[in-house]
This record gives sequence, C-alpha cells and structure tokens, in this order.
Amino acid sequence: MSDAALVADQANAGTDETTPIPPHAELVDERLVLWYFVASLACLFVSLSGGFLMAFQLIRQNPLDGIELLSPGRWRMLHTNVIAYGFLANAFLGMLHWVVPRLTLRPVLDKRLSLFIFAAWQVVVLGTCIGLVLGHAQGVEWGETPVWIDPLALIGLFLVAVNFMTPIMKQKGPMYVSLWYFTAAFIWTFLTYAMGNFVPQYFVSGTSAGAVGGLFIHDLVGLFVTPLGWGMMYYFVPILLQKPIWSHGLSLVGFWGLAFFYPLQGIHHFLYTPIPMFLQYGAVISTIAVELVVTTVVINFFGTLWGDGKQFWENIPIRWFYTGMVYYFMTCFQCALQVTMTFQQLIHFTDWVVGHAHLVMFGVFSMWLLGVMTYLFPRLLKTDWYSRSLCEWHYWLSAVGLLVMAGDLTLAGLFQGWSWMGLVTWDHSYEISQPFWITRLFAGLTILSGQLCFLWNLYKTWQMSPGTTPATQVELATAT
Amino acid sequence: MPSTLKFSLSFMLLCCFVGCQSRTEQPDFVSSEEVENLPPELKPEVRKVLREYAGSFEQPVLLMNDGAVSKAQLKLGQAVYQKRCVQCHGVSGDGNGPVASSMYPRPRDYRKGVYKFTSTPYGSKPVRSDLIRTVTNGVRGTSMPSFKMLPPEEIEAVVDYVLALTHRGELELQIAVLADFEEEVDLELVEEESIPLLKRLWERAAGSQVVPMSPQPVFTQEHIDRGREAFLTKGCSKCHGEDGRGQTPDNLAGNLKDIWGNVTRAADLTGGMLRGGQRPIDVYRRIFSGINGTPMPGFGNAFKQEPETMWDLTAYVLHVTNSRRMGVSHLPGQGSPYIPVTEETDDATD
Repeated sequence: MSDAALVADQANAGTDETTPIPPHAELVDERLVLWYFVASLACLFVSLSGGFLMAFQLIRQNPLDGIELLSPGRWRMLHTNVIAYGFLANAFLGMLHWVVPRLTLRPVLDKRLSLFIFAAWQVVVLGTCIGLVLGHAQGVEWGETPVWIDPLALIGLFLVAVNFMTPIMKQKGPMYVSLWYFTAAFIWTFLTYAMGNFVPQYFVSGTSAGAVGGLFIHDLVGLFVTPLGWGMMYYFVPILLQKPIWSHGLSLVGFWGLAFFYPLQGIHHFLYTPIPMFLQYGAVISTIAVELVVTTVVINFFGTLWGDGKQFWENIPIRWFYTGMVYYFMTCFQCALQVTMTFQQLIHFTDWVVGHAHLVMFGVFSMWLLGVMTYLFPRLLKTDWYSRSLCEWHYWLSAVGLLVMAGDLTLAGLFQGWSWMGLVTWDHSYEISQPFWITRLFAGLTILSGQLCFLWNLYKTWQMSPGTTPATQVELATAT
Repeated sequence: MPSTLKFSLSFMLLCCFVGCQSRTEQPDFVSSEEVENLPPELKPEVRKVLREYAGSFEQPVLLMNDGAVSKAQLKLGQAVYQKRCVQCHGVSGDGNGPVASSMYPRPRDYRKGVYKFTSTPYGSKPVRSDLIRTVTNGVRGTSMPSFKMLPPEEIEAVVDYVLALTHRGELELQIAVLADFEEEVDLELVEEESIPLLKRLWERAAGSQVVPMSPQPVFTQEHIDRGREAFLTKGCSKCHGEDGRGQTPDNLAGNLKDIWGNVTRAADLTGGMLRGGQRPIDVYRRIFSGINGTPMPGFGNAFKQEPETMWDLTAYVLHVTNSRRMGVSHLPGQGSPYIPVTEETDDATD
C-alpha cells in the first residue's frame, strides 16, 4: 500500500522499531467499513428525497400534499438530520474504522463493540427518522432528534469515543495531526451533543436557550464534522499524492486555531437578538478569525499539491478532495462576510443561508466522503471500479450541480433580502423567488443523477467483486 | 373461507389506517352569537330557514345569485377556501379559525357584511372587484397574504364563496333579530323584507364606486407641502399625530374599538404598509370614504369645495409612507402593545 511510508513514520514514532507492523487484516474490519458506507449511502438517498420534496413544495408542486405524516415541515427535519447523523456520521465511522487502526497500528478496542455500535447507531438513526415523521421533534434546530433518543445517541457517541480512543491513547511520542483532529472530534461531539440536546431542553430557557442552540448548530458543524473531515484529508491526501504534507507546523496551527476560535462562533446565528452584545461581537470576531485559520489549512494542502497539478485531473479521489477544499474556502469566505452585522441585516432568514449550508455540507464534507468512498470501495471489494467514466459522471454532476445550487440560492437570498429591505410585503419575496427555486430543483436533480451514477457503478462493481461471489461459483469458474 | 378471512382482515387493517388519518372531523357552519342567544325553541327554526335560503356546508348557496355563479363554481370556491382560508377566517367566515386568536389585527368576520377596504363610499357594501383585489394583493401589514400565484379562476371562485358566506351571515343576523323581536320566525318577513333589504344594499354598492373629484396630478414637492399643511389643519393629525406615526396619547391609550369589538388605533403611516393599498387611488379612496367599521371617517364631503386638497393629502400620505424606504429613520415611538397584556392574554401565550 502506498501509505506504508506514513504508517512507518507513525510506527517509528510510536512503537519499538523491532515490532513488526501488524497485517492490514488484523487491523481493519473491512466488512464493517463496507456496512457503514452502505448505510450512509442509504441515508444519503433518504435525505436527498427529503430535499426534493421541499424543492417541489416551494414551487407548489408537492406530490404528497395533504399527507400529515409526510408534510414538508417533517421532511425538512428529516433532510437535515439524516444528512448529519445518517450520512455523515455513518460514512465518518466507516472511514474511522479504516484510518484509525492503520494510523495507530492497533485495532480498535473491541470488534464486538464495533459491531454493537454499528447496530446501535442504525437504531438511533432509524428512531430519529420515525420520531420526526411522527412529529416528536425536539424544538432545537438540527437537534430535532426526539428527546427519548438523545440519551441513547449520547451513549453511542461515548462508546464510539472509547472504542477509537483506546488505540489512539496508546500512541507514544508526537501524534500525526489526523489523530489530533479525531481525538478532538470524539470529545467535542459528545459534549456538543449533550449541550445542544439537554441544556435548552431541561436547564435554561428563553434567550439563553437560543444562545445555546446557536452554539449547538454551529458546533455540530465545527466540532463534529469539520475535525473529522480535516483529519480524513490529512490522512488520505498525502497517501494519494505519495508525498508528505507540505508543513506539519502549519497543520498544527490549523488545528489549534480551530480549537481556539470555533467553539465561540455559534452565537452569530442570532445577531440582532437580545443576546448580550459582547457575545454577539465575540462570535463575529471569532468567525472572521476562523477564516484566517482556514486559509492556513488550505495553503498547506495546496502547498502539498504544488508540482502535482496533473493529479487533480487524473486522480478522481484527489479531484473530489481538492474541489471540496476550494468549496471550503469559498464557504468560509462567505462566513467571514455574512457574519458581519451589516451583511446579516440583508441576508438573515433568506435562502443565502440555505445555499451556504448546502455549500458546506454537500460541497465540502459530502464531496470528501464521496471521494474517500471512490478510493476505498475498490479496496474493500477487491476489484477496480466497473466504469471509470461513471465515476467521472458522478464527480461532474455532483460538483456542477452543487455549484449551480449554491450560486442560485445565494443570489435568491440577496434578492429576498433586498425585497424585505424595500419594505414591500413578504409575498413579494416569495414571488421573485420562484425562478430561483425552479433552478434549484434542477440543480438538485443534477446532484441526484450523479449519485444514481455512483449507485449503479457501485452495484456493478459489487457484482464483479470476488468477495461476494459464492465459493462454489468461483470453483466452477476456475474449473472451466 | 380463507378469502373471506383475508378480506375481513384487510378491511380491518384498512379501518385502522383510516382511523389514523381522520383526525379532523367533518367541518360545518356554526351559528352566530345572536342565534345562540335566542330562546331554545326558536334556534332550530332559525337554522332551518337559514339552511333553506343560504344552503348548508355540503350544499352552499349564493343567496343573491343572478345566475352567473354555478354550483360547481361555489364548490370550487369552497374547496379553495377550506384549503387556504379556513385556518384564519373559520368555516362559517366568522374570523374565528384555529389560529385567529394569535393574530392582530384579527381576521375579517364576513358575517356582518362589512368590509374595510372598498372602492365604494363609507358605509357601503364592497363590489366584487374589491374582494378580488384584496385576495390577490393581500392586506399589507397584516397576516392576510397575497394569493397572486393562485390561478385566476380559483380567486374568482373563492370570492364567490366568500360572498356566499357573507350573505349567509347577513341573513342569519336579520333572521335572528326578527325572531328575537317577533318571538317567532316569520317566513313572510324574511322573504319580503330581509332579503330585499340585503339585495338593495348590495345592488346600490355596485353602482357607487368613488371616482376622484378631480384628475390625479403628477405629484410634486408642492403637493406634498400643501398636503402636510392640510394634514396638520384638517383633522388628520388629531389621531395620526403630527408626524403621521399615531403617537398621540389618545391613540396609544387603546380606547378605540372597531365594530367587531377589537381594540384598534389610527395607523402609523410611516410603517410603509398602507393596508388599503399603496396606489394613489387607494389612498385617495381611504381619505374620501374612511374605513368601514373603524373610527376612521370619510373626508370626501369636507373637501367638496377644494377637490385638489384630496390629492395633496394623498401625495403627503404617500410621501410619509415611503419615508423609511427613502432612508429616513424615525425615532422609536412610545408604542404600547395593541392588545393590552392581561392575565388572560398572558395565559394564552403560554
């Protein structure tokens, strides 16, 4: 494997030099990685269909109009929650089962625990879906998970942390930055989830609950998704480019910058509210500071790519990763602008925010995870992709569809904001949004067709996989 | 046998499913307060007569129908109404839909036959195009949205249905008053007095749209200046305040009521949301005819001798209304809540 050099680095730093490197099969439970990816893709399609229903609803063509259980408000929550806890979390967990053992050269704490966590997490996701459809949502944005699931989810997150932290804690000497990010994510996600779901529900109310809710929304992005995403990038990009990261020093600046500035950001969701002004300004400043931190990280990665530009065109996973990084820079740049009081006045509550959320959740983290899947599926299934051109279609339809969607919603947000600022009636903003919403539907269709290409490609690849062919058939095939 | 079993099992399953879905009961018209207050023996009689003339929920009837509105049209109107209007305006058009209690201003109660924003003189019924305009554009600054994006035939149909509800409510009130007075329901009186009276009122309105007394000028600064002068001297500022913001002590005290019994106050003209419409002719008609059902009087007769002043005032009101759009920021007012916070309203928000 091409990551041998990196692994050897870690081995030298962490363990006795005479200890042999354990074989891959002892470290990684490939079956589990595969299951996680399959579960996450299933969730991706549930979430995408939720997005579709919303898109149809907005252009007044909802095919399920009048069915309470499938009403738009519930689908919307399903759309966001299933992406966060179904798609992203499952895909990240699959990725962690590959990366953490290989990076630490130690298996996870217990393989049976891993299996239990897998099953338990699917129960949590399924429970969330059912709870939301039945209307048991908790009144916390992005934390709508019904209250009776929250303790289960929290126990799940705790077990995940224990399972992966065991090999990481055994590391001696300096840790590679990916492990910093993962460690942080395990701790932060647990704390963020507890804060967002329990504090506003049981302990504080009113503005304070709003402030905590704001922290929760953004910490879920910044302290769960972002560190896992960047940790993943720091692992896969050097392996795929077969060269070390440009600057290890800069990678730590990025990590500690994130750790220092990110947790304060969330209040920026509630500028111009009765939340104390020092908190609002603090959030504004820390958000802008994060943009500087992000710049260092992006420079580090483009420094790594420097001189290998043709890899961007030839290596599809690398293309997914770097496209995601370009979108990441764009979305963070948006952040730094939109978080100012002046800008907020215009774009608050508009579709700009929706565009921004799609840019970061699909354009960055989903892109990265789909890239990782494009890289790992052939290794898990022990065969090359069925069709490289379908992989290309998957990439281009996703990347272009997302760009159109984000650009379209950003523009729509500006027009809506100006409409409201012009003190005309609310209906006017709705009317002028129609062309944008129709465009958004088609952008969504483009993205969906990309994922269908991926699914078909995966299906055909799976059929080719020797791992899934029953033994008798292999024997027959070799006999003839 | 097994097929019967299968059938009955699936039927039972189906019943369970249907049971899950039918959470809302069949809607129906409710009687007005006036009918409810009648002696018990009269109530069924009144309801029966009312059903005869104004139909039932299942078979709505447009009382004063010249034949232009078909049954299918009313049914379509009812379907649109039940889908988009009933939440605020209620099944019988009493403005008492499930969400009405959390709104200010309250949704219109059609049953009195009084509409605020009409093109007809003060005290008159509206014309059909007034209702179409309101449904199409909504009422700015209130919870009434614009339904511009509905197909025109649905707007037409829903207006016909609203008219049917209105006439039903008006007739209900007439019969109830008669029944209360006569202590019986006299069909002859209903037939020969109540219905013709309503017909006369609506027919009269149809031919009495307010047409400006002089042609509309191109508004200049002079019109605005003269308008401000008139605004301050002719009585407008008494309620709306000298700056048009309605910050007078009387207005803020919350003693004014409309005929629906709700607390009301002279509008803050700087809000940029003239409820009766933003076109010059809308403003002109508000000044000329006043606003039905509210303390806003019509000034049409007062300016008979100086028709130009009407346009000056219109220019000034539009100027004040657009001031925020032009970047003027007004100091915060001493506004008090429209609905005074009492124990009752406090409970309602919990």
